[in-house]
Amino acid sequence: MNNQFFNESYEKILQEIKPQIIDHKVGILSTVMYLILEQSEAEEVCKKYSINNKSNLDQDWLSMTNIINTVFVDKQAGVKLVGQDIVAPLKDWNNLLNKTVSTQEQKMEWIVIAGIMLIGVYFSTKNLSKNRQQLQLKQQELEPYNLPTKNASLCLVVAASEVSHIQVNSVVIRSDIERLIDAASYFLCVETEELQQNYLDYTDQLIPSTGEQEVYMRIDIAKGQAILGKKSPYVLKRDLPPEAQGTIKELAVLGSLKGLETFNRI
Amino acid sequence: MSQASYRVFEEVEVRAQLLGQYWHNFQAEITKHLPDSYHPEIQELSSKLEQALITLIEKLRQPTLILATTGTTSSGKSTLINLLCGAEIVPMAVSEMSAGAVTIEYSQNKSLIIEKTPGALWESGEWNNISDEEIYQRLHQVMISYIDNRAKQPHLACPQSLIYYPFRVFDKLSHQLPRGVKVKLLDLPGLSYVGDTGNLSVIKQCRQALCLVTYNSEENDPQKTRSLLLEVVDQVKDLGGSPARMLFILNRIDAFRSDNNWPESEMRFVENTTKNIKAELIEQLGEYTQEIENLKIIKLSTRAALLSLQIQSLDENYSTIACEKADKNFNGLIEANILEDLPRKHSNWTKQDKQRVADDLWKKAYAEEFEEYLMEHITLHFPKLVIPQALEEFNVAAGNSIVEWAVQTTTAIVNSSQEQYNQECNNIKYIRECLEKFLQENHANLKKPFVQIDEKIKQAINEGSEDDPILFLEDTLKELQKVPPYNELGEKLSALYQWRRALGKGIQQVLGVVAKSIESGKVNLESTNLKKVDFSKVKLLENNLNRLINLGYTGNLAKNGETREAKTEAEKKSLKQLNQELNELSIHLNIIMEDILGQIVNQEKARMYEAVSELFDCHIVHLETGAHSIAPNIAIKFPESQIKQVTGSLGDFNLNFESGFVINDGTWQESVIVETEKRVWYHWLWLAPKKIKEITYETRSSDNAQIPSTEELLDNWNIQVKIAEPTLVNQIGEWLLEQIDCLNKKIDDIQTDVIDRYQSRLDTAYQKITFDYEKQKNIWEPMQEQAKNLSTEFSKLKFEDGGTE
Repeated sequence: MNNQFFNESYEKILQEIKPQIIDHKVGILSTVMYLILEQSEAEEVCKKYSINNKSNLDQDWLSMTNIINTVFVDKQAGVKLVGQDIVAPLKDWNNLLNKTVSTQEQKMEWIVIAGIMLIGVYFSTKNLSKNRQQLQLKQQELEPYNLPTKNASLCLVVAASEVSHIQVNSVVIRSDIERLIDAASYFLCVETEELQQNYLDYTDQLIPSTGEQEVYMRIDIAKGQAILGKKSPYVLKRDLPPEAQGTIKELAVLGSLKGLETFNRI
Repeated sequence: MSQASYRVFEEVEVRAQLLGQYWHNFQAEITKHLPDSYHPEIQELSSKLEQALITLIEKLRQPTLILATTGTTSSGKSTLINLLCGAEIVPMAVSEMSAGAVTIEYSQNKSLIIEKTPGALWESGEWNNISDEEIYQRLHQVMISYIDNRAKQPHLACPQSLIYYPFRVFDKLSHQLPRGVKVKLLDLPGLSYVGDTGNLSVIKQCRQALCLVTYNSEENDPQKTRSLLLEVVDQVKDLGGSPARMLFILNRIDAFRSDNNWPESEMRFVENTTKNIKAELIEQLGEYTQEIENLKIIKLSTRAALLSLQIQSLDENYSTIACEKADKNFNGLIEANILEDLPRKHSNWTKQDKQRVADDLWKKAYAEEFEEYLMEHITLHFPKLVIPQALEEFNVAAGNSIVEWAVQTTTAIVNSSQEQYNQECNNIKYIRECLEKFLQENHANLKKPFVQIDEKIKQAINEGSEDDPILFLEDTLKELQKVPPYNELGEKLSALYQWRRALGKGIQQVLGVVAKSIESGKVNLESTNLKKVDFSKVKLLENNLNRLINLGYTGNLAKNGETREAKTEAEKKSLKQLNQELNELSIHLNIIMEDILGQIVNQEKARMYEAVSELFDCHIVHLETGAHSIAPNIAIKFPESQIKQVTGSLGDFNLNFESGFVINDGTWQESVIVETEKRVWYHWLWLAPKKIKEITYETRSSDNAQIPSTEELLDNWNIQVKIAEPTLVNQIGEWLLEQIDCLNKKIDDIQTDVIDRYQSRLDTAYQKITFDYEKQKNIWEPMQEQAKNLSTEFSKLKFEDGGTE
C-alpha cells in the first residue's frame, strides 16, 4: 500500500476542513459530512447514522469515541500479543485519549477522522451491494454490456424467395432473424431513432413468391443495443437478445442497389 | 409419360439421313448444269457430308449415358448404386465414408479394376470373373485402408475403381434407349474428397452425366438440416451446369414411419424440404430459376428397396439373410397382416412369403415410383445431353458449308450475266456496308455496359472514388437484362454478379465457425466449406485453435478482448505466445481460405463462363437474324461452337489475413517494501515511534498489448476482404471485355469471309458460266429455289426440348 499517499491525502483533508469547522459550536460532525459530500449524499449519510446538526462538541466527541472503541477495542477482543491479552491496555484507550486530547482543535481533528470513517463504511457498503446486483444481472445475461436499452432496426437485403411468407407487421423470432441474416447479401443495424429514411430505391412492386429479386426488409428489435453497428453476420447473430422478437416494419422490392454503399456486404 | 428416348435419337437420325438424300438429289441436279471445274468442289462437299453423317449416326446410335450419384453426408449414395446394380457390391458405411470414385460399366462378365494410387497401401490390380462378395470385400478393404491412412498421409490420393457388371438398371433401361447405348454408373466420393485432384477426371464426366442427388431425410436437427441443405446446393454447383438434369432423392424416407401420424409428417417433410432445396438453389443459382422451379424431388428408401431385391434372389442363403435384415430393420414398413402370417424363423419363410414381403417393401420404399421417375428423367434429359452437341459438330463439319455453297453458288449464277454481275457487285458492296454498320452498332450495344463497368472499376481503384464498383456491376447487368434482345435471357446473367455473394458467404461461414470455436472453447470445424479443404490443413487450424484456447484466448477474453500489461517474465512469455498463435491463426486461415476461395472461384468461374456463353448465344442469334434479313441470299451463319469459345482464364482470388496484435514497450511501477521508524497518531498517539513498512515505487519495463476480441478479428478480416475486392472485380471486368472483343472480332471475320466467298463465287460464275442467261433462267431460278429449300431443311435439324423440330 502506498502509505505516503494516505498520509498526504489525510493531511490535505484536515487542512481543508479544519478552518471551516474551527469556530463551530454545534453540529461539527454534521458539517464535516456536508463539507466532504454532495448535499444529497450528506443528507443520506446523516440520516442513516442519525447525526444531529444541533449536537455540541462533547456529543460529537462521544460519538467519535464510540466509533474508535468499535474499531480499536471491540474488534481486538481475544487478540493475544506475545502471550498477553491486548484488550486490557486498549481499554485504557478512552482514558488516554481524554487525558492527551484536551484542546478543542485536537478534538475536532478526531471528529474529522470519525467522519471520514463513517463516510468510507457507508459508501463501501453501498458499492458492495451495487456490485452484487450487477453481478447477478450479468449472470442472468439480462444486460450483457450494461448498455442503455435501445431499439435496433436491422435492415437486410434478401432474395424474394426468402421472404415470400413474410408480411409487414408480422413478428419474427430469433431463429427466423438468424436465418434471414444468413440469407442476406447486405445488412445494416442502426438505432431505430437514427434510421435514415428513403435513401434506397424502393419500388411499389409486389414481392414475387419466388426468384432472386432483391428485397429490402427492416426488422425492428426491442432492446437491441448490443447489435447496433455490428459488421459481421456471426457477431450480429451472437449478440441478438436471447429472446429476440422482431417486427417487420418495411418490406419492398428494390429497383436497383443504389444507396447500399453504406450497408455491410456479406 | 413422354416417348421413349430411343425414338428421339431415331428421329434425328432419320432427319439427318434425309438431309443426305436432299443433298444427293441437289448435287446430282446441279452437276448436270455446271461446268466440270465445279465438280471437285462438289465432290469434296459430298464426301465431307458423308463423313459427318457417319459420325453423327454413330453418336446417335451409341451414346454414353452416365448416371452419377452424389449427395449429402450419409445419404445412402452407395446404397443407391447397389440398388441400381441390383446387388450389394459397393460398401455401404454408416459414417461419412467412401471407397473413392467407383465407375461401373455394363458388361455380362463381372470384373474389378482397382487403379494404382501412389503411396497407397491397398491392393491394386484386375480381377476377372469375380463374385459380388469379392468385389464388396476388396472395395471395403480399399475404403478402410484409405480412411486409416488418410490421417497419417494427408496427401494420399483418393482410390479409383472400375467395375464391369451386368447391372439391373441396364435391363430396365435398355428398351428405352438407343440399341448401342453404353451405360455407366458413377459413385462420386463425398464433399471431403472433391478437392482431390485424382477425382477431377471423374468429376469432369459429371458435366455430361444425369445426376442422382441423395439427401438424408433421417436428419431432423435444424442446424444439421441447414448444413445438409448447403451441402446439397454446393454439390449441385460442383457438378456444374443446369440442375435440370439432376434428380433429387429424399432418401431414408422410411424414418417417418415410426411417427403416429406418419403420412402427414412425411408429407410435411417432403413439402418443406422441397421448398427449402429449391429456395436455396434459386438463391445460389439464380440463372436457373425456371429450371429449379420445375425440379422433381422424389421419395425413396434405398436400403428397403435393395433388400426387397435381395429377398427375391435365387440364392436361398442370401435371400434368407435379406429376410432377416428386412424383418429387423424395416419391420415397420411391412404390413401387419403379412408379418402375422410369417414363421418366426426366417429360413422357414416360403417362396410365396418372401415374395409378399419383397413386394410390400418395394411398394413402401417408393421404389416403383423412383424407377418411373428415373426413366422419365432419362427420357427427358438424356437426348438433350447428346443430340445438340452432335448436331453442332455435324453442322460445323459439313452442314454449314453445304448450305452456304448451295445458296451462294446458285445466287451467283443467277447474277452472273454482264448486267447482273455489275449490279450484284454493287449489291455486295452495299450489303457489306449495311452488315458492317449493323454489326458495329450491335457490338457497341453489347460492349457499352461492360466498358462502363470497367471505367467505374478503374475509377474506384485509381481515383479512390466512393462509388462501389460491385453494386454498379450488378445494377448495370440487371439493366442490360431489360434491354432487347438480352431481355430474353431472363436471369441468366446473374452469375456475373452473384459470385461476390458466393465468396462472401463462404468467407463468413468459415470465419463464423472459427470465431465460435474460440469463444466456446470447443473446436468444431464442421462446415460445408471446410469439408472441402485438404484434411491436413484443417487439422493444423484445429491444433492452432486448441493452443489459443489453452492460452486462455476463449470465453470473455476472446469475446471482449483485453488491454494487457505483461510485467513478469512469465506474463511476457504468455503474451508473446498468444500473439504468435494469433499470427499463426492468420497463416492457417490464409492457407485454408486459399483452398476454399479457389474452389468457390472455380464454381463461380464455371457459372460465369456459362453466363457469358448464354449472353453470346443470344447475341449471335440476334446477329444471325439481322444479317439474314440484310443479306438473305448469302447464307450467313455464325457457328456458335467456333465463335463463342470463352477464352482466357480468370485469375485466382487471394486474401491475406492478419490477426496478431502489436506489443508495445511500456513501464510500470513496482512496489518495494522499506522498513522505517515513524511516530503516527494511531500508534500511541504520536507518543512512541513505530516500525513501519513503507512502500516505495521503482520503474520497471512491461509489454503492453491490446488483445483483439473475436469481433475485432472478424471486422478486421472483413475489411481485408473489402480491400481485396477491387482487384478481383477489375480482373472480371477486364476478362469480360476481352471476351466481348474476341467474340466481336470473330463475328466480323466470319461475316467478311462469308461475303468474300460469295464475291469469289460470283466472280467465278461470271468468268466460267457462259450461257444464254434468258434461256437458262428457267433452270437456275428453280435451282436457286431448291438451294433455299435445302438451307431450310438443314436449319430444321436442331434439337429443342420435346424433340427435333
